[in-house]
Amino acid sequence: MTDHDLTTILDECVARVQAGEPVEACLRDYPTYRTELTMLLDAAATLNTLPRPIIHAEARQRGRERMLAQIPPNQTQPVSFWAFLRYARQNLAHLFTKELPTMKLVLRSAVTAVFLLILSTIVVTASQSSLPGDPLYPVKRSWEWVQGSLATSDAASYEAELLDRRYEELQLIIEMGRQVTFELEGWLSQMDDKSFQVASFTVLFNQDTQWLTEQEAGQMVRVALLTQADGTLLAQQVAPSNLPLPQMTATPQPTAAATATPHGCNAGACPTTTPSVTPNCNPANCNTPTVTPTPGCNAGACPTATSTPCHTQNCVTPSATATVNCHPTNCHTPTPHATATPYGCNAGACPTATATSCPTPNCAPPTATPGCSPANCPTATPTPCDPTHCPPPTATPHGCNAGACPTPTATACPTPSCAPPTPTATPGCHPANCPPATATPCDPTHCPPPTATPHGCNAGACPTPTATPCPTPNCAPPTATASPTPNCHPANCHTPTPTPTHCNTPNCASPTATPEGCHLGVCPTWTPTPHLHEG
Amino acid sequence: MLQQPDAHLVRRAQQGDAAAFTAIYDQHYDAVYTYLYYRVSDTAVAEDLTADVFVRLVQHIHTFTPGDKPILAWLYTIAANLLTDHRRKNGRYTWLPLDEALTASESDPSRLTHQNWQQDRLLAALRELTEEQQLVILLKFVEKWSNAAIADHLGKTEGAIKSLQHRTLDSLRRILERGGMLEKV
Repeated sequence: MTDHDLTTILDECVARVQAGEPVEACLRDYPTYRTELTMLLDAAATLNTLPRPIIHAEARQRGRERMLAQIPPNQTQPVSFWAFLRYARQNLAHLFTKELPTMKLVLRSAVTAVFLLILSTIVVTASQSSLPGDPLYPVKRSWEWVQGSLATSDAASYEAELLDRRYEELQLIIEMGRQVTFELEGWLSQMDDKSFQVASFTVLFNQDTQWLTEQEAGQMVRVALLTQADGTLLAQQVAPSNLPLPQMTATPQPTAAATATPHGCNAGACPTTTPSVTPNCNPANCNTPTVTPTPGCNAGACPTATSTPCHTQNCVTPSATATVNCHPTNCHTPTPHATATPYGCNAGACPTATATSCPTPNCAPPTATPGCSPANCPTATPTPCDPTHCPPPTATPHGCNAGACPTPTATACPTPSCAPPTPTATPGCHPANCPPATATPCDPTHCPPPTATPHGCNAGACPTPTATPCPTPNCAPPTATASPTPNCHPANCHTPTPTPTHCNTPNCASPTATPEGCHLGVCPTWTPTPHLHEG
Repeated sequence: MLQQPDAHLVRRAQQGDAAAFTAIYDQHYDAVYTYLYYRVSDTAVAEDLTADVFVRLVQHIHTFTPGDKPILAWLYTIAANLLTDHRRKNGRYTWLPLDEALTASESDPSRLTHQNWQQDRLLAALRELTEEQQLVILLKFVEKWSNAAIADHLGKTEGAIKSLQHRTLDSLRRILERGGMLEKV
C-alpha cells in the first residue's frame, strides 16, 4: 500500500461509477477502504444529480451577435510584441529627452516607483512557486496574508484555498524528500499501530508522538508532522481539529523559530522531549545541547531531556550532564549526574560523561572528557560491570568509538564489543598500544589473565592488564609479569609471556609462553597463573 | 469531453475571421454558460456574463497563443475574472431558486419540490468549495473531462488532480453532512 492508494482507488471507483457500475461493486473490490470509499462515493453520487442548466436559444443568439459585433472590419494585423516594444521605447525616450526641468524630479520618482513596483511584482510572482525551505517562501506566505486581508471573496473560501495550497506543497515536499514541519487537518482513518491516514496522507507515529486526542479513527484531527527524507511523514502531535496544536508552529517552514537552543540533531529526527523548547529540529540547526538527560529513546531518537535533541546517527557536540546513548537502536536512561563535557558522538554513539551504566553493546563509555576518536581510548579507574553494561569509568577517558567501549581500569568486560578494561589509568587503547597489566586467572570462556607485560593487541581488542576475566571471544588476554599471554585474537598476538600453557592455534603467538587451546580468540582452558611467574 | 479547436481555427480568429469566432462560440458556449450558471445561479446574469466572455475573446484573441493550453481553459479564466468583477460590483452571491432554470426530471409536484430543494442545497454546498475545487467538480462530474485534460487545464499533474478530487469530495461530504443531505457515517 502506498501513500496515495486511497486517492488512486477513489479515482478508479469514480470512473467506474460514472461508467454505470454500481458503487457496491467497487466497495467489494476494496473492502479495506470500504468506509472511506462509501463516504466519498456518496458525495460523488450527489454530483450525478447535479442538473445541467437550460440554455435558451435566444440568449445564445444574442450573445453570438454581441460577439460578432465586436469584430472590427480591419482587424487583420494583430499588434506584435516587438512592435509594442518599439513603440514603448520610442515614447519613453521621448519622455526623458523632453525639456521638462520642473517635472524631472517627479518623473524620476515615478520611474523609480514603477521600477520598485515591477521588482516587487517579479519577486512576488517568483515566490508563488516556492516551497517551505525556499528563500522566497516567506514572501509567498506574506503575500497570502496580504491577499487574505484584502480578499473580496469569502474569507472561509480563501482559507480553504490556502489549505489546498498547503496540501499541494506538502505533496511536493514529500516527493522531493525535503524535511520540514507541517500541519495537516482531516479525518483520521486507516489507523494501525504504526500509522494512520489523514487527508489522504499516510502518517507514521511512534511513542514520541503526542496524542492530545484519542487514538481512534473517525475523528477530525490536526496533526503536526515532520516530513522525512525517505518521503514518509512522522506525526509529532495529534490534536482534535477544534484545538490548536499547543506547541507547534503552523507554518511549514523548515526553520521554525525555536525558543531554546536547538542542538545537534540530524537527518530530520530531533527528539524533543519538550517541544516548546526546541521545536525546530532542522538538520541544520542542531548543536551543543546543554541539559539533563531523559531516559528512553527509540530508533533514531536520543532522549535529551529539557535540552536539545540529538538523536540521529551523527550527534554533534552535546555538552551536557546527561548520558545518552545515541545509537539509533539503543537509548537508555542516562544518568542524571554527569560531570564532564562530552564532545560528541559519532556514528551512532554519543559519548556520555561520567555515566554509571551503559547498557547497550554500542555504548560509548562515559568519560569525563570524552573524545570519540577511535585512536583515543580513555584512561580511567576500573569499575566492574555486568555482561550487559559497559563499565563506567571514573577517570578521564578520551573517547570511544562506535560499538567499542574502552573502559579503562575496569575489571571485567563481558560484552563482545567491549574492549577489555585497562588497569590504573593507562590510556591509549589503540590497537598498537596495549598497557601492561598483572595477570588474573580466568575461566575457559574468558581470556586468560596475563602475568607478564603484553605488547600487542589487536584492533578492537586491547589486552587489559590486571584485569580479571575477559569473557569475550575478541578479548586479548591480559598479560601480567611473565605469564603466558595467549593473545587469542586471530590476527595478532605479540610478545608472549613465558610459561606457556596451552595454545594450539596458529593465532597464538606466544613463543615462550605458548598457551594452548586458543582458538579463534577463545582460550579455552587456561589455568590461573601463579606458577607462571617462576620464569 | 474536452474539445480543442485546432490552432488553425484560432489563427483564423486572430486574423478577424468571423466564421472562426462563430465556430469557437458554438463549440464552447454551453460549457462557459454552465460554468457561470453554477456560480451565480441566475439565468440572466449567467447569460450576460457568458456573452461578455466571448466579447473579451474577440478583444484579446491576439494575446492567446495556440498550443499553450486549450482555448476553453482560457475562456474559463476570462469567465472567472468577469465573475470576480461582477461580484465586486453586485455584492456576494445572488440566491435564487433554481426550479425554473434547471432541467427537471420529475413530474410529481411534491417530488419535484424535493428535487429542487436538494439541487439548491447541493449548489449551495458547491459554492462553499474553493474556486479550484468547484472547477474540478464541474470539469470532472459535469463536463466529464478526463484527469489528463483537467490537469492540462489547471497546469497540474494527473496525480495532483486525483488528490484534488479526493480532497474536494472529502470537503463536499462534510458540507453535505452538515447540511443534512448526507448522513454521518
